Amino acid sequence: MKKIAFLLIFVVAGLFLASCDKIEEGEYVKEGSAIWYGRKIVIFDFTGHKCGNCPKGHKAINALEEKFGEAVVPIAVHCTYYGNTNPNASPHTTDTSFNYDFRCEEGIFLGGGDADGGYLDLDAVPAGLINTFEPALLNASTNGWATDFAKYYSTYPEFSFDVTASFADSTITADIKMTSEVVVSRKLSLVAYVIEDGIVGWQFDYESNPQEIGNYVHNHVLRTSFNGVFGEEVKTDNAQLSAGDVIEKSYSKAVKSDWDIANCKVVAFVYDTDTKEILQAEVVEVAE
Amino acid sequence: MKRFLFLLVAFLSAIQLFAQKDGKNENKFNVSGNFQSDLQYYFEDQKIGAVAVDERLLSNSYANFMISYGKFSAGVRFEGYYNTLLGFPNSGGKNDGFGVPSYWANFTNDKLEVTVGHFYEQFGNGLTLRSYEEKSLGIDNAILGARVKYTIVPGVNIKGLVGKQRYYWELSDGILRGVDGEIQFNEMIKSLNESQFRFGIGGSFVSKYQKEDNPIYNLPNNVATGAGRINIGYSDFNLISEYAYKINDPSADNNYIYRPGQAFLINATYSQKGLGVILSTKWVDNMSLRSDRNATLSDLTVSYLPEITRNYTYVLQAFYPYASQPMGEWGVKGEFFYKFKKGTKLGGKYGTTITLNYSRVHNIKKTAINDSTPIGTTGTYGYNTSLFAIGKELYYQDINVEISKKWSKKWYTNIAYMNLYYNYNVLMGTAGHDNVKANIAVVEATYKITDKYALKGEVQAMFTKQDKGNWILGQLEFTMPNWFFTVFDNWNYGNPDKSARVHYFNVGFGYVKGGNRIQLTYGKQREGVMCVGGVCRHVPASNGFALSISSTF
Amino acid sequence: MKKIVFAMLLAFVVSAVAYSQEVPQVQLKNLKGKVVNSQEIIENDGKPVMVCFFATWCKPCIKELTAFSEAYEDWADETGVKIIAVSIDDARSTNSVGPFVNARGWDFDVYLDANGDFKRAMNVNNVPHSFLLDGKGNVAWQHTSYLEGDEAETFEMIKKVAAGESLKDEKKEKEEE
Repeated sequence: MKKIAFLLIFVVAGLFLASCDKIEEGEYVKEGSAIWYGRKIVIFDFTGHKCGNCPKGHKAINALEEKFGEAVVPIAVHCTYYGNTNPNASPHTTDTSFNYDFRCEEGIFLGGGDADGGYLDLDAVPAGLINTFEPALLNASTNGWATDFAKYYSTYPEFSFDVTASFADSTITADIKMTSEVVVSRKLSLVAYVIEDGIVGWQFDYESNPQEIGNYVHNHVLRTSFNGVFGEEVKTDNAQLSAGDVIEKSYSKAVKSDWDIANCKVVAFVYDTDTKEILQAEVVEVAE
Repeated sequence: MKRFLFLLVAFLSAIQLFAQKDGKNENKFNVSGNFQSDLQYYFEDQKIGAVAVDERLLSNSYANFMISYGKFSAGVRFEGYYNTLLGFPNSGGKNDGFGVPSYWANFTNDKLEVTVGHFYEQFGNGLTLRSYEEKSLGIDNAILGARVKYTIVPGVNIKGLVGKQRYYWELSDGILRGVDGEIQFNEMIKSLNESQFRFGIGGSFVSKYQKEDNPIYNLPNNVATGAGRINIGYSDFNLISEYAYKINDPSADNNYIYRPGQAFLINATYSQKGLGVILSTKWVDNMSLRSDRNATLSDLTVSYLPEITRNYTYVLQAFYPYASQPMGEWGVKGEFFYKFKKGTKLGGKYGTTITLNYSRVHNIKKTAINDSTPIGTTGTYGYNTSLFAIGKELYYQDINVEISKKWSKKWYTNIAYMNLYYNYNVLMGTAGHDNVKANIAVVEATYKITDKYALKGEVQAMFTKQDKGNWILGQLEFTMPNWFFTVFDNWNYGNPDKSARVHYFNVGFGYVKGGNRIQLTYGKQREGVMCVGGVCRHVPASNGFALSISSTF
Repeated sequence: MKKIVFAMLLAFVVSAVAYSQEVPQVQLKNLKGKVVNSQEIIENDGKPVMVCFFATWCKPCIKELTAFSEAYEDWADETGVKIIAVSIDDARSTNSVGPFVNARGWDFDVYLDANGDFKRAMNVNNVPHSFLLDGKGNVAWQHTSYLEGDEAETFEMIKKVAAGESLKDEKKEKEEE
């Protein structure tokens, strides 16, 4: 009996020892990638310039962009207490630092303001919503964003976009043409935002030295929405849309004085009004 | 849920049949359980930063029921959160609701123990695996699965388990498999039974399976961690040590780096009647393991890294609590207990107990893997370090003296003094905050009016130039059979911001009878941090009534 | 359907079981690292046993056990009671329990319940929590928290249990009167 017991232990221990996967140095990064059918994926990066962990989120997005290029459509939503400007700063700051407000009305509505509230009622950032508006899918682990991203990457897009954005008389105009690629019987909402790249400003970063960075480059910063935070319902019933059917919309919005139009882009995406899953997205530069 | 109830009824019926067949009086059914409910009614109080709670009233409750018959037992737990009290882990409402989060059945005899359902387990000191519940922090990472414990011969014990961890009302993505074995030679070998020299060894191995799911990095499906431990004793001297090693485990905790993790504990104690000495040291590097690589905060922890610092309970001594830093720390602790004997000059009529303790924790020395890669970069080896390479940054230091003395049948006092260094930025996860240096004094005196009526007074003061400045706390407690009445005020009189010099006033009473306890308090609670087992929870400021009922039956 | 199952369960429990708690079988460790069984440690030749759950960081627990310790010799002489102290200190302080207890000169048998297995099996919510077992190992009385002077009531109970009086029946009789 005892012998059998001992033997059993060794067998079990052996099995256990076999159950670990060592990854050799140089093999950390995956080679190649899954097949892509053209579905572009929206990443909401809820962030704040006074949040020391938020650059991790920016790095996670950079890594995705590096590998998957145009399939990645990031939107940096500055919000919460960490998006406050200097006078309300909790970490002590010098007088000129952290005085630029990256937030916009829509971002605060989505993520939450100083004392929480908003659609997601966030109290901590970074947090990400990958290709959805569903709050339950909020992912607080920036390292996990790529995993969420991969769930959508190789799926077939239900729509294709043709978006043009133009600028004249202090107004950006977006012309959006959305064509269904397959038969679709969902309720649909179309959203169009303005984002801006290359805004140089302050950022806390726990991993840098010093931790207060004065010339950090902020990309994909959400500036405004043409048609509300959750967009416009463009199909309100479950009737079938055949492949090739087209929905066209045109929006325009006045710009604000602190935007650099040369760095502004229009992001358009369509989502299922019920499941909140984003089905396709497009991002284009604003042509002057 | 339905299936579970069926199973339970089937199980109970089987036992009953068995019982009737058995027909002896020795075995009988036992039903027992416990219950606790905490309710709080919240008022908005902008001065202390207490936010308005939409529900006004929040509550956490649980009840356990256990039935046993001879060698068999089974249990079930109900939990209800309507809605979860502020400050408890909730992940955006995941914790709210009512349900049966755990159920189990168990068979135990002298050699064998088998459990199916939810169970808690700890291997060694918990470095490789600890599944536990800490109600005060809202932590419950029970494993749902099966566990076997077996005593091969006296002194030789093995355990094995498989399962998934509880994650609020759901289960973890990852699967855990673990074995643990321990040999105590003094028990195993008869001739050593009474030996002064004691010797034991143990080891554990835990493997986590979670499918690799990252499109950018090659992640391990299986992550293994193993540990060896030893205990040596001679007469009044004891030494225990444990070393744990974990292979590559890119996770949210370590920002997806691939270096292995390790942890090392040594604890030496000497004690005789009236004297106790403890010396410990600890080394931790990248040693957090969770059953989901992307889990954060207090979710789904598998490894447990005990703090080396003392667990303080006086309010102001616990103001700045230490929390283990799984990504790297080195610490030492010394503790000394001495009791001056009765009838000596310092001992007086009843004896005097003195406690001294000191601890110091540093970061560990990490070097970059090459010039172009910052330490801890995602998708790299991460950094280099070597065992006991101590860094320059001080995380925590405390020196504490405590003297308790009974003067007469009527008087008892306890006084304590503590000096603290607290690395606020590292331990609270902030930046740009001044590190806190504080001195804390506590005087507690109890006067027994009669045998059954007593009055306790407590004054605590904390002096610091950093953070929120000085605090003073005064407390009075009156106790009589079954009843207690308490009132205290915690005053932030030294806050550099004059408008924030708030009184946190509390008043409450309670009734205790047998295994039942009920307590009602009204007051303000400051914003703070509570830590147990390397896990801290942020307790938001609150103002309101709190009712707590608990019962064991 | 669920309701029916629940009702069955309830009926079953009520009909089949007379309420009484005994000590379940759980593994603990003694201060020398030996694995012991909870049912072994409560052996006391048919005399009462007090099982006291405590933690080194719990101030009321220390007060309670200090009070018990001062009275232990007298209590043991009079009733033969054995006091067992079960520490629920986790790995942070498990290894400190021995010196802590020894320095205070407590003469109890001390056991370690580092992961709370015994605590859970005995349905303890918070420490201090003490159980008084009769000679057969059944829970005759229990007590949670510690208020100054509680040791007097505790000793009353120990004496009654040692004398073989049933605490429950007495209560009933009182109610009937």
